Amino acid sequence: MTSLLLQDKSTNKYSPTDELNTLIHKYPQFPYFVMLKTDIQRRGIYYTQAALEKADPTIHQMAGTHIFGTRDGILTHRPEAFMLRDGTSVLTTPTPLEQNPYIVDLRNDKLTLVDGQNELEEIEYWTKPDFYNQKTKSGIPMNLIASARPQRIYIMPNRYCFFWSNKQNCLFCDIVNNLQKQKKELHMPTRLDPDDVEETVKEALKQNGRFTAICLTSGSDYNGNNAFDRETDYYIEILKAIGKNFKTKKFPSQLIATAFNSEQLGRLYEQTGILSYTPDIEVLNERLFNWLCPGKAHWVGYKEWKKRLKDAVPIFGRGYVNTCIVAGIELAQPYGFKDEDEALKNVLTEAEDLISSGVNVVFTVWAPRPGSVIGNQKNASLEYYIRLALGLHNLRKKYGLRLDHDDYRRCGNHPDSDLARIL
Amino acid sequence: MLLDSQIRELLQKESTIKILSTIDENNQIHTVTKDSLQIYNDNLLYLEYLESSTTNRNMTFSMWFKNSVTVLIVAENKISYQIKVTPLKCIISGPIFQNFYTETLKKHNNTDLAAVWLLEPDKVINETLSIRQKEESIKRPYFKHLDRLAL
Repeated sequence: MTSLLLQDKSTNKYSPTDELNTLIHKYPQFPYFVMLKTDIQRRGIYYTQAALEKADPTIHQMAGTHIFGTRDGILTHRPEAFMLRDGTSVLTTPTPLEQNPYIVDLRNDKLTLVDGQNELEEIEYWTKPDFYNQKTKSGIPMNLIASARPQRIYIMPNRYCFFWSNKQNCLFCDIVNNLQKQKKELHMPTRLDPDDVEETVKEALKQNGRFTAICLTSGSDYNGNNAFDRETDYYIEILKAIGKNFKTKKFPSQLIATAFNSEQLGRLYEQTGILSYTPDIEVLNERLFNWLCPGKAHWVGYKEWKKRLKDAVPIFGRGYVNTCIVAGIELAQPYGFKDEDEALKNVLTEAEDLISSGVNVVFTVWAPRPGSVIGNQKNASLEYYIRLALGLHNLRKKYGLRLDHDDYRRCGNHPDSDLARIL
Repeated sequence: MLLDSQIRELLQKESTIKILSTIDENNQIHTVTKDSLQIYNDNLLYLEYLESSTTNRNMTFSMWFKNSVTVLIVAENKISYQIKVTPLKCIISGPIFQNFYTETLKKHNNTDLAAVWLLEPDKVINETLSIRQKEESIKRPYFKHLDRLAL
């Protein structure tokens, strides 16, 4: 069945490997491994039956617990991600074959990345951390409390985003739809108890050499005396619980959250071990922000979001505040840019404003997911993503801005920050 | 198999000096000693203790853009070999990484491990002076001061 599908695919006139080869020659200063990763994230991945059989749930990290869903709408039973031999991580969104994804197959008993008839690279599935086998005292499997990147503990304390309550959810996001599936299929808790988090981190730290950082992210919660007070207080509670596991007050950690005001941010920094801060602006254009992120636009606003990013720099330090954009949504229709050159110029101009102020900008490749409003649209060309990654990398070089907390090893989901390995 | 028994033996000796040379994006050479250089199956391996080291950065650069990397080993008795290598794999997590991490903590207190680099040998050159002199006198007889031939 699998090989038949591959044979069918080979008759397709579209030849992505030719496109990749053309771009390798056009951008010799861009590493092949990062280009490959970017294109895999752009086009998606399909695991053949043979490749799936090679994924051993006792050894490898399987999908299902990530905050966002997949392009084929199926939650579980596939590897979460894999690594290329240069240490590059590739987080995967399994994608239907009809959409022309890259394929992971078993060739000569080796997991191989395949495109058309071309065998591109041998890959390795991420290994599962030891704490995945444990349960908390309250009886929750620890893999539902925290997940793992190869070198990072990833905690999602609150998987519900309150913007969805007022139909002000970001148009590219499927967080709440994915949560409903996770609750049904995995009994995923929506909101974590700080004691469970403390216990899970304690267990995770028993595995020597496994983790270098902790990352927290959640849906937005505008409740409280001031908007987002409840979100801030909850993060403080969770971070204090995590902090009980460390000798030092501060520990390598990242908070991906809403853009808080100075008072909220001051409390967060003073009362917890947090070391870096990432309020994601999602798109670098005010008009598109208002359209694509109505909740963020209503509760904070584009100009205020940027101001809060810059205001966070004196607290966390240059380079330890960053923001992520979902690259490609600026081209979504009907209101997005019609032309990639124009879109790129706009993004890099706005990015320079932030980077010159000490705020890093990173991107993820937009994976249109069926559970989101604009999930039926297409993302940008590979060349667009290459130019964007190079543009952001060159701005970091120009302004001497490091990106230690959100790099290839701590996160592994930003093609541009993979380039920071050689900064 | 490019690495013969003598090289394998030399690499195992603590007294052997092991040097790694890399180049950066501006073609600047960076040379350091790497005591952790060792045989790993038919390849070489070294342990990178510093994530931000120039060598780590240059190794990534070499792997990405196929720049050359050179290993030099020098034994107590002046026997030396130069080994041209290609970075094959950068291991930053998983069971192999964790084994070396544990070993590093045991050996060097308070030393972290950033990466395990696997290097594939491409070419081995015996750089021992006496051997190179013999070679030159056979292959390039013209390269000699005359007084050394005088009666």
